[in-house]
Amino acid sequence: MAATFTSAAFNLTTLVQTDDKISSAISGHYFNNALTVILPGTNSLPETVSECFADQLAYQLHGLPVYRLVEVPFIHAFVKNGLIYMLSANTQLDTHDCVAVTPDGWLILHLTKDTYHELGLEATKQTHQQKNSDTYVVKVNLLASYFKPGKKNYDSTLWCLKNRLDLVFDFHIAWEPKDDKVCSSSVSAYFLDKCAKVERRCLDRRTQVLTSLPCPKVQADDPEGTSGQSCHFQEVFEWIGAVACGVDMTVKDEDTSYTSSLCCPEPSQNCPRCCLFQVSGFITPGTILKVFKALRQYTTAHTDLPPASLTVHGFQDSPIFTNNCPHHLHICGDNLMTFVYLPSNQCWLYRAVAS
Amino acid sequence: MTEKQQSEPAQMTLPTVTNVEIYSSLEREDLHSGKNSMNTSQKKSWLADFTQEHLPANRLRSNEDDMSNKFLSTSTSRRYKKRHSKQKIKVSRSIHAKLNHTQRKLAKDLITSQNQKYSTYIPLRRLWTSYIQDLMSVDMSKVTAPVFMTLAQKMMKADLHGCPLTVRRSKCPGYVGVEGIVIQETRNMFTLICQDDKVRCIPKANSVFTTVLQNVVFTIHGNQFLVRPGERAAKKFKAKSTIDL
Amino acid sequence: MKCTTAAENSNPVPVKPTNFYAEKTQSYVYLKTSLTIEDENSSELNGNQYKFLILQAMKETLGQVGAATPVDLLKVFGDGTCIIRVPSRSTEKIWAALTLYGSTPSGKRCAFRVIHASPFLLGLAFNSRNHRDATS
Repeated sequence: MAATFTSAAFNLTTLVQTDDKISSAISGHYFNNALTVILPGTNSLPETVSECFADQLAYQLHGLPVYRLVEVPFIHAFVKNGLIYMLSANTQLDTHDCVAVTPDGWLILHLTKDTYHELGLEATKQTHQQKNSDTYVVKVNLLASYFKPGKKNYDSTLWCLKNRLDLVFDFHIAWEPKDDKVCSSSVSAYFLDKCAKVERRCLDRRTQVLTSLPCPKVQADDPEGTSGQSCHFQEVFEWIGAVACGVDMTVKDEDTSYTSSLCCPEPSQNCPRCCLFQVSGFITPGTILKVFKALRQYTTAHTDLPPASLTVHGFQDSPIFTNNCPHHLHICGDNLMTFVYLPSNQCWLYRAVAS
Repeated sequence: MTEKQQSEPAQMTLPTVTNVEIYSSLEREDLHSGKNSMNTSQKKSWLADFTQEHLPANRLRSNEDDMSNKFLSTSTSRRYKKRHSKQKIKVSRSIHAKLNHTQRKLAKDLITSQNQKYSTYIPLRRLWTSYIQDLMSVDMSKVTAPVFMTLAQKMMKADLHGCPLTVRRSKCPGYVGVEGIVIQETRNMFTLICQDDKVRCIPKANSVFTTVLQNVVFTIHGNQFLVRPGERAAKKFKAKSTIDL
Repeated sequence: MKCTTAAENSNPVPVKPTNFYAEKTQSYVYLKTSLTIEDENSSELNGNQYKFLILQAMKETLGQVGAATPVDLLKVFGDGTCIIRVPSRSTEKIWAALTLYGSTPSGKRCAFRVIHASPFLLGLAFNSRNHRDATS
């Protein structure tokens, strides 16, 4: 237990806002559960940001057999001609089997020991930690040239998924077509007769206005706060978390410090109005990239305000997080990214992963 | 094999199906030449002649009244005895080795031979099905849960050559789903012939096999089954609570 | 703590190095806990009462010294759940103490349940497993 908490990976990268690394970081984080936007100095979310969610379509498929995902029509129509995001819903990574399809064409089956022994698909175990664990990760490359009917690999994979076990899951699904003429809702039409039920997943939005919020001072070139003019980056991260959770951070006097000693890191400045926007659902990286750009436009126009931030929350039970790294859940599977917009076109990127 | 099985000729043919071939090459002419036509006294003298002829000189008694082997000889040291017994073992080993060699060759041929056909083993499977039904001596179509224990006990002792087996689960995913008729069972292996006329050797360890008789599914946990088929009939199986690969 | 100047960015106009800071260990762990008390509505508890019960739980199992570990009650939600912050070194001890606590000083049976634990406070803002309850 202690080992997992201390091995939580946490790092900060300072970047230029127009950097390619930002877009690659966002598009590499496939399965996003929620967004948190903290925008000081305004009462409401700018129109440009809320517009980004308009054409975001996500569905939930109920009772879809897994072998449908290796069928040729599916691969041709969706995996090859767009970016598909599929993640099994209502499955827990530590106790259940989890399935994901990534936009780069990998079918990832995160299997428990019993299922793995009965399924008959080969898993790849690379690291020592993976070898010791009771879970097995089977990866199938749907885009490989050899993965087509008539080839031995394809036939055996299809046979195993179809006949061995009744692997049926609920899925979150979203699709971003390459071709602009194709509507991303066609993926739901395709699965309409292949699974029990297709449901539109609506986004759950919450906007809150916080008044007289203490905000920490941040300097882009001094993340560790050595000069005393700015806060340590870790304190800033905690502050963002406290705002997102709605924790009261006014400076404590003698009486109230009994319950909590957490207060806003020093030096700080008071922000009269602050907009906290939270949205949850199955959000595609494409949408997040749009939100990021919209917020960048907003923050470059308002440089005198305390820094705004955008947090991307990943799914706890996602078998992978950024860049296809395997993800495991021991106590908590939090994987998140936070962008802090700083003046002069700079940006901080926090990445936090715990298992 | 239990006594019941031995009393029925149909069952007896079964374990010998593969063995006939094996021993056919070991037939020796001198063991068979007119042996049956002799009476007892003739046989005795023939045997004496035979031993005189074939046994090594030091094994022969020179005289009927020789008492040397009735008393402990001081001259025969322990070392001598030891060496002597070693030689004996060597002889017996060489016989075994020879037998093993031929057996192994046959066994190897069985596995590697290209012209093994699934269809040739279908009669064997039919034979096994009738054998197992006789052995179970209950109507398999309407058995109830209380009988399962005795059925399983009988299955453990049964001969499995000709049994259609499926690999249900295995630590090695490549073996999972293999289906075929058992053509050979050894201590650690099942050799199956599959419908695509391929012979596959599946280790018993870390695998679970199933076979279906009408509407009863028998599950064989390979880890508990690591016994030679001959010895298995006599082995006492212990009930295990947790069965994990 | 390590600080490396790793890579150059591809944009040629504002030439600035990419700085990379990594923190090996997190100093705090945040626990989301719910409290149920027999025959009583735990949502009526205020922060001070909640904190008192947490300290009682720690005192019972860990003694006076163990109870001296600084525990911060960050937020009490209306439904009897709260967020507490504990030093990561003593997470297991405090977690165990909360689990073992069985009855309030007034003799009523009660139970703490840790719903979510995370080394990041942001992680507690959303729980992706909650969707199950929402949909089913």
